Amino acid sequence: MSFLSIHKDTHRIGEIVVAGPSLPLQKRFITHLCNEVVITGNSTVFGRSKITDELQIFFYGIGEKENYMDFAWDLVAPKMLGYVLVYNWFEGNSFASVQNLLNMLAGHTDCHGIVVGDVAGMPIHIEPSVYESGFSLSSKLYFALWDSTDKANAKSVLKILIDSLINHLE
Amino acid sequence: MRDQAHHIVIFDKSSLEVERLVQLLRDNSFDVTVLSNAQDAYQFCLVSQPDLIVFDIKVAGKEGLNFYRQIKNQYSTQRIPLILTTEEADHNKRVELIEMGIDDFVAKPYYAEEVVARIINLFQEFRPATFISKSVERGFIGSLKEMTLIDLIQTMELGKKSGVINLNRGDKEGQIYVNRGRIVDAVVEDYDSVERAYLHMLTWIDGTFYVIFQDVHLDSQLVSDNQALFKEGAKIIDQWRRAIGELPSLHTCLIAVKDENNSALSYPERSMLAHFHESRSILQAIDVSDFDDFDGLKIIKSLLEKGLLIKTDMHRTEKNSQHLALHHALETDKRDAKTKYSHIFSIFQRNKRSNADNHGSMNDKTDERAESLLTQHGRIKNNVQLTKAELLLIRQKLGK
Amino acid sequence: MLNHLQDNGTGMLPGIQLQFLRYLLMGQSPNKLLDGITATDMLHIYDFIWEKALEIGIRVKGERFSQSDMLKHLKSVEQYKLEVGCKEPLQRCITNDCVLQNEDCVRAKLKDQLNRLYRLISSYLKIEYRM
Repeated sequence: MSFLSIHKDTHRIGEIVVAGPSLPLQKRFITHLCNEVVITGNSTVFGRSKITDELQIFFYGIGEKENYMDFAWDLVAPKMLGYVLVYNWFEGNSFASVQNLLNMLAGHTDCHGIVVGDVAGMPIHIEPSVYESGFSLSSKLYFALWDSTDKANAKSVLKILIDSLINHLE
Repeated sequence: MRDQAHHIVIFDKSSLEVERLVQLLRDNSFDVTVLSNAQDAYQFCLVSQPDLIVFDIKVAGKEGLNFYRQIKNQYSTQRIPLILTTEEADHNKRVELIEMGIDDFVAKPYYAEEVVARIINLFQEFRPATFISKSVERGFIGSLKEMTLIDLIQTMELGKKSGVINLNRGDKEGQIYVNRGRIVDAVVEDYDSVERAYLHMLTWIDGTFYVIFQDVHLDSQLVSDNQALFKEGAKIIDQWRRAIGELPSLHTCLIAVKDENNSALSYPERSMLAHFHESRSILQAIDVSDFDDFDGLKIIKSLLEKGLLIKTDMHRTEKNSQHLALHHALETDKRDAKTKYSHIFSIFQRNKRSNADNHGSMNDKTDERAESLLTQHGRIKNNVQLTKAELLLIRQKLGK
Repeated sequence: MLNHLQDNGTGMLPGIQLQFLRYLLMGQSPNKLLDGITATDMLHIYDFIWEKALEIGIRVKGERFSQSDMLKHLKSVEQYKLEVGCKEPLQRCITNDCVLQNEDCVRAKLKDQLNRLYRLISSYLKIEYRM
């Protein structure tokens, strides 16, 4: 009788990359969605959200601009659920940075993605019902506004991304 | 045909039976190393990362069991398949051993030919890289500068997590074992007491760590609870920071000034000076000396003040030493490229390369460089790994 | 149309679309963004913004929303042709057939329509429109 055993990895993991010009914003977004968040070396954030005992989502907050080039896009992009690009809605520089990143990712990957403008604590005079379900830029890309001080908002953003994925599988 | 000989470690006492097994394995082109001391065997496995370990759990009484636990609790060795050989006749005990996670079991006395045949079958049927430990599925790597050991333990305590915190500082390596958020064991070379090992590692404020969440099969070796250890630890860290504040960076290389008139020095000073006959960093000297860390610092400070130690240009960079742990993790990770967590390591792998290649030159052209990195791979096709049902599950959870 | 172009990799860069959407939600005239954009690209942008304007209109007004109300705020093609003295068939102007032959004319028409759309959306969102 042989007891040689191959343990099959029964855990299922969905990966989401969170990028953008501000690490604190990435961290805030990830924190709202994860039960475990760790700031690792090289100023990156890792978060884990348990959906069931077998299914989890990993969030990789890849830090600020200088980290983009270091990120293993070629390894992560083919399998990831998508990316979330966070920036400050009111800052022109922040927008320009995320605009470049969006062009780069949309140009070189066919991943699903969502760009999120943070309006935390600032009046934008628009009813949340107008923007909370996001706006499509293409069939796989979305834009949404969110208030990073509100946990529920991060969930709404993730819902948009997941809905986009589900629609594509239909 | 194998491209490269598989390396097998046999941890057993010397006997004709073992000699016969070794001979047969070598005849079949396996590399074989036989070790009979548990600590040697563990250290050897850590360094050489064999493809398979054959061992007798009763070989050195309790040491055999410790060896097994060390192998299973250490991230870099826990995926190595283990074949247990034992004279244990009790069927229930055999079952217990198997339940502990042994991959295969051979009753003693055995026919060496049979063991060899099973090993050959094993390697033919399953490449070593396909051995995936169920328990290794998540973890993270980082710098102790950004997250201290206490932060790490507190994080695990909050989530009542179990796992092993592997720490590196310079050439030294240590492990803290945490069971459901509680520290149960701490291991570092030269420190017999668990408590002392833990307190010693608290002073590692500029090394690296990698944490692996996994079950820890260890009973607590500590009398104090986490809070008492944190309190004591905070004191130690404070003292350590003050002590190193009076010295150059611990990575600064120093060398002893040749001075014939050293007789006025105390014995500890002469002893420490002897470690600087060739250029060495402060950290390395403390690690190789017999002195307690704090005493070591005091002595080096005194030698510097007396002008008997001077700085040299031979820098052993902090980055290099910090990357030892990452390298370790990366090497181990290569064993199973499909491991989900490889992505995390890949992130750091890239950082490692770019830090070496592009030291301090990443500003305006970052976007272009990132783009060129992406372009190298053409347009990347994305195949979502989760099923629709799983996505719906996520959607449902978010909706709550 | 836009999605099709985008998915085939021949459409506008999403960053540019995002910039137009940003201005739309900020109540800012798109004029600054239109400099240096070709008439063909402006057509893509116009399609995109029209789609977003519809979405916003529906979200703001709900069942009270009507597309014809929205169209009333735009200049009719007949009116535009009359103003510029164009003798081409009406259908050519509706389908923007002359985008390559008479680029400036198409640009001028779309710029005006975009400004009208932006102004309309500002009123829907109850935010101040800035030129």
